[in-house]
Amino acid sequence: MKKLNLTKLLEAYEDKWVALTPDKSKVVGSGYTVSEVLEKSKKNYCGTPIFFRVPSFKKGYAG
Amino acid sequence: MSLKIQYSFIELESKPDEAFPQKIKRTYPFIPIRLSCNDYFTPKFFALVDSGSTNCLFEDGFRSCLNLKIEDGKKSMITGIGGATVTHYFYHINIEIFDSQILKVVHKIPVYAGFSEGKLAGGGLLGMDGFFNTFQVTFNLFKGFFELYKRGL
Repeated sequence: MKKLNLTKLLEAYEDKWVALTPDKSKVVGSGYTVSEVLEKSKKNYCGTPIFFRVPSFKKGYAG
Repeated sequence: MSLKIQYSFIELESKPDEAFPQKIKRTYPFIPIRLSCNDYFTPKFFALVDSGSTNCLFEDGFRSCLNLKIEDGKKSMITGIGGATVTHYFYHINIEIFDSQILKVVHKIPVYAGFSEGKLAGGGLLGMDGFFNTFQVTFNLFKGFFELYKRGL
């Protein structure tokens, strides 16, 4: 099982919410809130997308 | 009986900075989940498996998807790196965990989870109480995957 590199797909969406197709090949909606992306993705896609808050590409993460 | 579920790590390349002038690949253990409470569900989303978090924490946008009212939540303060303290409101909800193909729910676990207006990696953190005390998590960074294992299924 390989790591899944999503940089190319997501680099334009830093710090935003995106809706992805379940195969993670396409962004079908983006925005700053879950509700905004939910609305957009319903217009663009008839399946059930998966949401993802794209982390910063400039900063690391510690939790 | 036991069940191991395997997931790929998600990798994102960083933008260069002073400490890391070359691009580096940052690796994250995200898993597909959704939250549920009574007859309400959130959309499916990726949450970060995070042993550095004491609790399972989610962004406030998901609270309204579950029809949970602020006044019904129990308030608790959570602090993170840098010392910033954020108010969270806690509720009894369920986490539904999907397989790696995001097709079917493979586990549904009850958790006491917090919601706040702070930004969280992936929109949610799967922390020690509720997640790590339910699953054994094995990271295999060399091979690019990690596994969840729940006993007694």
